[in-house]
Amino acid sequence: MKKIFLISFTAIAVTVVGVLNVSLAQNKIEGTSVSLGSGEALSACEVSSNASDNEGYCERNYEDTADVCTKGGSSSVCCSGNL
Amino acid sequence: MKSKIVSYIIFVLLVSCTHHNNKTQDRKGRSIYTMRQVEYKRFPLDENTTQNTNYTQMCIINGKVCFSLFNPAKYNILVYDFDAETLIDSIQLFKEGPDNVGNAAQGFLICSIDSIYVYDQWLGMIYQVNHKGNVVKKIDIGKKIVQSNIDCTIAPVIFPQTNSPIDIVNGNLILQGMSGNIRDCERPVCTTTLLYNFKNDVVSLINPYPEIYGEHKNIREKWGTFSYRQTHYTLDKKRTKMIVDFPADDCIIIYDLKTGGYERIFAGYSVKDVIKVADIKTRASIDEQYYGQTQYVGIYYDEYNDLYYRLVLHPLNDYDLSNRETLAKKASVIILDSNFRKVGEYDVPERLQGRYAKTFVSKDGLHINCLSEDDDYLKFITLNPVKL
Repeated sequence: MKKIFLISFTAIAVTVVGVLNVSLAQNKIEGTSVSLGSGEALSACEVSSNASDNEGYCERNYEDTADVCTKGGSSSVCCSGNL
Repeated sequence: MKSKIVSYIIFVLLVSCTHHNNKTQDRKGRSIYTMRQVEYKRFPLDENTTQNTNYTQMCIINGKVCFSLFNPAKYNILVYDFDAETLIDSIQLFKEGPDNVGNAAQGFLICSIDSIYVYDQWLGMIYQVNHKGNVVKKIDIGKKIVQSNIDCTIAPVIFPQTNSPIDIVNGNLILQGMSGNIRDCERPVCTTTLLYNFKNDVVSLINPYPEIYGEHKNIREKWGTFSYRQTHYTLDKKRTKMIVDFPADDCIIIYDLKTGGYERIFAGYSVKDVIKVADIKTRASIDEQYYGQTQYVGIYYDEYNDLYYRLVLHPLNDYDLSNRETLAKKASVIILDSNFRKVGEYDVPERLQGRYAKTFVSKDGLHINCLSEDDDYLKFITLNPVKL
């Protein structure tokens, strides 16, 4: 019984991972999603667990498709770089 | 001496922008030109390249007209034959190791296939690399600014984009951007252009914000980042003048690179919009400031027709931040002649959302990046000027 459960679980896990990889490979258009709506985190900026590394400000670049972490921004969302 | 120069600059810029013949501003201008949309320009993208490039630039390599783009996914620069629309070369950049150019590359300039300048916007460094991506020179721009010790003239946060390109004119590297960090200063002057002189190894800071931006010490708090602070420019036919576009200002600024003189000229849309500041502490306020107001987003010189094109976005009256399709803005092209007189205005048939920073001019016309339905192509709306 345990063996059957283990084999079934492994098969399902492999299938899920396989489907995910295929989806990611096919999703070329928007490499990073940009969250919309106020209060949501901007998703293309790195945030370091070391607070002192978060010297930048994560901003939506309306002129282009990506969020950008720059040292000259002005929002309150801090970041340590770009994904 | 420096404070006198700064004071003079401020005085000049406080004067209302003038029409070139000093008459009352005629927002509509003359109707000599319009534009027409022609076939899209498309460049193929392989499986390693998405439409999310942050920088493109026209270039000439070995006499061939080329189109180049930065591919963040592979951290390389791709070069296309512009006419054939085929990929012909690539330059690999490195994030690590002895030839690293940092990991925040934002902008490049191909001088030749073996001389490419790359800017890292996080480190504030310029790297010169060869065709193999080997670093042959480094310039610490941040250090140069400190060494120059330019009082209360504030260096910009440099952020090259296609509509604010890296370029070299008369031995000066042009780096464009937005207002920088204010030091402890009573009356700072925020500039938008940094010139690095290769021969003298010094920087100059020019093109301060105009009057509409209010007190410079408050620009960062009131104008957002990529909504109204980021600025754009083009060069004139002789490459002796910078024509600077400020998103909130009807006027453009002409800066003479030889004399250091400034001139402000009206180049606004025919219908006036009052552009207001935002409370940048809230995401919603910044979004409303951007989506609900007019914004000038680039100026381009067309050497083939001796015209300038200024791209303007119009406010949205009804939009839903959670629905991307409602966020595309209507746009127009303001057409100026070689003396910056308004000679036409054209409404772009397609709405624009993001991507329009990647706009450039070629012999085929004005090209504005738009989202391609086919992920294997980078696509551009193409407009040609037409005399009425």
